[in-house]
Amino acid sequence: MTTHDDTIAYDAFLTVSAALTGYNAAELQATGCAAEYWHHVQQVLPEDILKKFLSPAPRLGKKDDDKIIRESYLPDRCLGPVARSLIQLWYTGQWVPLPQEWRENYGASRFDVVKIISTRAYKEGLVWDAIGAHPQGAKQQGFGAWSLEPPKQRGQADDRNS
Amino acid sequence: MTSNDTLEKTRGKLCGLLQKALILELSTIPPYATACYSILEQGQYDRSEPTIVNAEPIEVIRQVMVEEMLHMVLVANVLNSIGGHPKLNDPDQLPTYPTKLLDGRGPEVHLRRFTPQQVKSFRLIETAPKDTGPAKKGDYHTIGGFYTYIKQELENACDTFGNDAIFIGDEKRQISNDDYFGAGGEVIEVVGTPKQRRNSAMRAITEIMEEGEGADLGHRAGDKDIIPGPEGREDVAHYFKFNEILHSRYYHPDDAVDEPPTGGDLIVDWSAVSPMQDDPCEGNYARAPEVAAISAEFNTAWTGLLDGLETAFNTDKSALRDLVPTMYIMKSLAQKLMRIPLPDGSGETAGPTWTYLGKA
Repeated sequence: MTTHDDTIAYDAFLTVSAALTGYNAAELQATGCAAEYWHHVQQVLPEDILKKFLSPAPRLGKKDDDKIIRESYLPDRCLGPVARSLIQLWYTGQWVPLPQEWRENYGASRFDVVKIISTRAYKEGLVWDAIGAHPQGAKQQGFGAWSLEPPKQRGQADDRNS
Repeated sequence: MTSNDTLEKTRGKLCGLLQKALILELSTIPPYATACYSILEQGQYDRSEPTIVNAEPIEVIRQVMVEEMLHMVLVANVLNSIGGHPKLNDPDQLPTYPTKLLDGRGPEVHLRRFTPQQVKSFRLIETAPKDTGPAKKGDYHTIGGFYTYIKQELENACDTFGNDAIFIGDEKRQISNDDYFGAGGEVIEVVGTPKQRRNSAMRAITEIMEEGEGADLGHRAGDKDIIPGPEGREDVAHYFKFNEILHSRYYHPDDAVDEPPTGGDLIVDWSAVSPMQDDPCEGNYARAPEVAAISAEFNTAWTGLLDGLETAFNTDKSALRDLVPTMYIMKSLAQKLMRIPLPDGSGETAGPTWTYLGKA
């Protein structure tokens, strides 16, 4: 990611990811996985589809994220499965291969296989934060943590969108 | 002036010195923790798998850090034993970085990522005074010198007014091993007869000095405490631990204190480090509200930790145990911040500011 265009595309990737996951760009970068996920997505998707996937980015991050996702991504035969795999990637650290129908229509990539991207990807999955837990076998919470109230859930009380 | 006035004046002075010692110990933790957390962490300490990046320097700094926490507890116990009140959440006393330790007499410390330069500055913090003569009279420039002075003043006070007049603190305030989470070693409680309390207080201060710069270990690097790691490895003082990292080599317990370490390899990869900006400050996040939010979350945890310590040392000892999860939360948040590039395009990342948020 050295050239100007690459930086713009990477930023767009973060913007789209933020809209799809509900975590902002800083929080996504805070996982330490953003660059390797971006690399993986670039490997899996043909260039024109990647371009199409990122094209709504300038409209995202304002007010209509939910609408744009529901209209431009989820029902789309091409972008829908990509969006779903990307959401799962951020939440679980695991790439879920695109469906057979998608491959038949848009081509198969040798990188499009089920894969936990890295050991960090497992630990930094957004799912752990979302459910107020810690990844089993990593990021221990410390003695007595079980006696404390779980952290505030996202979307409650001080909801960022309210 | 009555002798009672003089006694209380002396007590006030001693309490003031110990309070400074408490803040001094506290002040070392953010720089050490920041450097430690900036190391790209791949695994826990495990010699059997040396490919794990930087597991060893992480473990070495972690050991120093938890001993500083133990030192805080020891200082608080001594301060409580002479009738003082440890203060940990007074914004006027808390460090902001960069800071010069010992009211400007000591070395300057910064919040920086893990670099040879930063580890050298840590080594400077833990350097033993060459001659303790001037320190005993109050002319100190190192942490070791400062404790030499405190010890001397406490001895003088006990000799002048008697142990029973000095050790008047409520024994219920003493943190015991049951209250503490066992990190960094055993707690020394200042309890018993006045004579026993005096001895315990001196022992506590001596332990702090030994674990810090290791001045009085008889020219031998090891201090006979066995620590986790390669079989039967003896603990060494902080100065030597930092020296181990810089030399990429462990000390052999019988190594002379003024010679470089000659033990086994300690593998350090200075490049596997997050490019955190030096001395992170809130101002740098003004144009990045999303980063500011995570920074605020960190500072809220830090504030909770300091408030919790204040409670543990002054009113409810059980508060200490609840702080363990807080420390893990802080580690996680610090590491998050150090992965987020700053919006200025410098390529450097954000970092924790260690700002106390309460009672402005």
